[in-house]
Amino acid sequence: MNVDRKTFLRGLGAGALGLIAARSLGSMEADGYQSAVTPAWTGDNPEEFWRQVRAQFPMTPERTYFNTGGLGPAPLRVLDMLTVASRQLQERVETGHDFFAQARVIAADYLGAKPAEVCFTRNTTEGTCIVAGGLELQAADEVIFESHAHPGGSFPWLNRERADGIVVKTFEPDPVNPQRNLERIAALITPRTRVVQVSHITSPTGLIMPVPAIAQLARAHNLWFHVDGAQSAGMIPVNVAALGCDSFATSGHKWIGGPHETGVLWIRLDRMAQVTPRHVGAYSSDDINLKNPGLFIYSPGAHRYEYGTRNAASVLALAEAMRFQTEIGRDRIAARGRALAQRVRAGLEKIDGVELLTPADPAYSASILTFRSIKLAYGKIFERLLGDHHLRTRPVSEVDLDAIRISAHLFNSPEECDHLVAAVGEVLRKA
Amino acid sequence: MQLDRRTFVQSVGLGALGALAGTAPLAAAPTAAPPLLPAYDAQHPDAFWRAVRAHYPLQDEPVYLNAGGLGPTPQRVLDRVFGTMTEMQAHSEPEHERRIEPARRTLAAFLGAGPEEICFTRNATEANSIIAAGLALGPGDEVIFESHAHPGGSYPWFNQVQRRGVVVRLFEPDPTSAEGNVARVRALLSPRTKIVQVSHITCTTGQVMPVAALAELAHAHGAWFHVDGAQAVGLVPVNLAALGCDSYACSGHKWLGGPHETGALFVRHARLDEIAPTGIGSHTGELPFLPGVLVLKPSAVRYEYGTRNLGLVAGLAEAVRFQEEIGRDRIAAWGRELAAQLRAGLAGIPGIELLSPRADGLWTAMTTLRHPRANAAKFSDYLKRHHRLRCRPVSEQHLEAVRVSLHVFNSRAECDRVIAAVRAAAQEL
Repeated sequence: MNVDRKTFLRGLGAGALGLIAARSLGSMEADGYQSAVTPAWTGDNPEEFWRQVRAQFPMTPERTYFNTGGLGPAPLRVLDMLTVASRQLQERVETGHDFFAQARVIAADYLGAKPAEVCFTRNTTEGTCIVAGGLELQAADEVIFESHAHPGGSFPWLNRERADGIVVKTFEPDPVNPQRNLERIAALITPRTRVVQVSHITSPTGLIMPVPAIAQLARAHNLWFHVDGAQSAGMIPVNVAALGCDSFATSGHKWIGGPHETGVLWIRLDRMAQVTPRHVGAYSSDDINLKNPGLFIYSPGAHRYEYGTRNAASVLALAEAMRFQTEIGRDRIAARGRALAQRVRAGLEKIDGVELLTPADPAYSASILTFRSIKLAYGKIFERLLGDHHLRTRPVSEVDLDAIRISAHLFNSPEECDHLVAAVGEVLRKA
Repeated sequence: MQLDRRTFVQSVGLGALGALAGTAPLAAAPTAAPPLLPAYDAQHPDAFWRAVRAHYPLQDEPVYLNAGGLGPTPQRVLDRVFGTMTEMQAHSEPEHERRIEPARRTLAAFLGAGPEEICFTRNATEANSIIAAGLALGPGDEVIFESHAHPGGSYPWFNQVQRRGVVVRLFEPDPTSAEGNVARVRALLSPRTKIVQVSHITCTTGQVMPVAALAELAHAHGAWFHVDGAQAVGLVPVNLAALGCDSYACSGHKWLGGPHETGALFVRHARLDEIAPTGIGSHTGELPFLPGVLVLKPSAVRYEYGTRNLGLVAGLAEAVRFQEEIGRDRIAAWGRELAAQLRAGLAGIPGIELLSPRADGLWTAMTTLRHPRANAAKFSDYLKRHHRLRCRPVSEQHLEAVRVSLHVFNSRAECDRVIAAVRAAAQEL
């Protein structure tokens, strides 16, 4: 009856994480774990495969969801993991912190990183705050990022501007020839530049930045290069080693399909010492002597940025979301989203008065498509698509873009895309 | 180059919700209404507490005696967490303000604070860190706190020792009197003292610190007074208006019985601007155009940022409601009653030393005891292996003791088991 660590592991962690073939353990099923089987890919009938994928998302059938870029729904198996793990941890009153190591391996694999380089955050914003708050920056030091940055990407630097007098310089992304973004960044670099940041994929228009080229530029100038990957991880495969950046922050609750308030921050191990933790607590240091304060030795690895009691069930469920995507195939997910976005693009191109803001070049765009119309204000388009046609898109008011953003993800279908195109046509016709 | 943040917030929040108004309302939580607690009958209190215990999915064995480490949640809290999650996953709308503000009002009322003084954190550590990182401090500035502080209370300051050259001054808690602790803090005050911090209740021995008196002392000296309330909120009634501190850190997942990774920070409204935010993003402020000047929200909301798990926040509010239904004074009294029973039983066991204070008003539902020969690890391991009792080893500051936390789900019979087990330990170890 003694619930020791091993029994607990059998009951939840190792099986739940699939590290051993023990998913069918009685204790999980008795707790209502639905052990959903990931649909098997069939080249013969891909639409049937994607219908089975869609069936794993407990979304209301009352409307069609095209806003994964804002908040991504989670598949059942992720929610089941969250529920069962929470309940089992509550019955045993365990934090479940031991499972972080296993989840960290999964998250690191997912990003092409080493486990020691990954910490679990509550969202992309926290990841970017850790980097922006932790770098040693003096007054007049400069940071460069794009004017389309999400508040979660820009506010952490504006906070340093406010507190420490650093200088923020922004560039407008070039939507026609995204390679020119490299030149725009280069033009802003001065001897005082310390940091370059870009969104891997921009939030307003889904433009893919030439990250590896920017990494080379940043490295040549000895700058810290941070990437806001909120819109990329889960939409397209991400390999941070290939990207060449110094740090990469993403959310669990957008394209990855993890629970709300989850995220991952990656920091290159050999540069981690440059990012001093601003928030610390239990687990941030393995060794401190209250009698001899003054030297605070941070834990080796990125878990130094984690502290105190955490929600291990959320982290386990995030790892489960990553496993779900890996089983489906991340290239397949990216190709599906891109094909759906292109289907919408092809349809919208035929509608009078529609202007597409997302680059057409497939090298610089993926599953996001942003458009606007001179015929009707974006707010009206948004409301009519939602109110009259039950289509949830996202209004883009940033930078006076006044547009509508479509996010197409693995649970969306060609029929939904056609419905959207027809609805846009009708809304604009009536305008 | 213009970035209209106000419109951004409206468009993703209010606009969407407004347009949603014509669609179906959110489904009700899929769970049945929680069973009501019976009326409290002073003649038969144990029946009432058994009914309380039935609300917890906590397994019966081993006996759980560590609410001060990690508190179990009642089922209705879990139901609220998952019900909220299920509703939100169906529509995938942020619904941030709609869901977070009622919970903020609930928690603020519970703590005797204004809603604008409360932000939700992931744990008490984050709240302590926000204060330590956010105050303007320079080399040589001094902070005073007790040597028994939890790592979540001390590490944020040691980090400032490293980052900004802050000097830490420690005092050993005086277990004999409230005045003794005031005197020990007073003895450490210097012209460089910028902050005084104490644990409202220490995690090592469950000692109640004289918070209101220390608030007066700190303020007379012009120092910021911060309280780590991780061991107090949910164990004793807390009224922040009466305590007089400038800031107060709460944990949701200890005595309060909220979901894991919940907590809150109180910052007195008049002193809000003295704590510069460390983490910042959506919801923390307004920026009409980029580049431009970021204007922070005029409330503690400024310390929150980005997408949050609103199920956890709703669960925390539910935990508060559960405690209020039981009765907060009743919770504190029950914990003390159990602890008194434990203390009486332990008193006759040779060699067992009580480290928790004996003076009235200084002790609570946490009892820390030391074995004459076994260290903290050996003693707690023995209790767990041989008697199926889960206590917390106290190895901090070489105390080498075991802490027994007694809360609403514990019983007199469990106290008797602890007494019998400690008696056996005194002979066998």
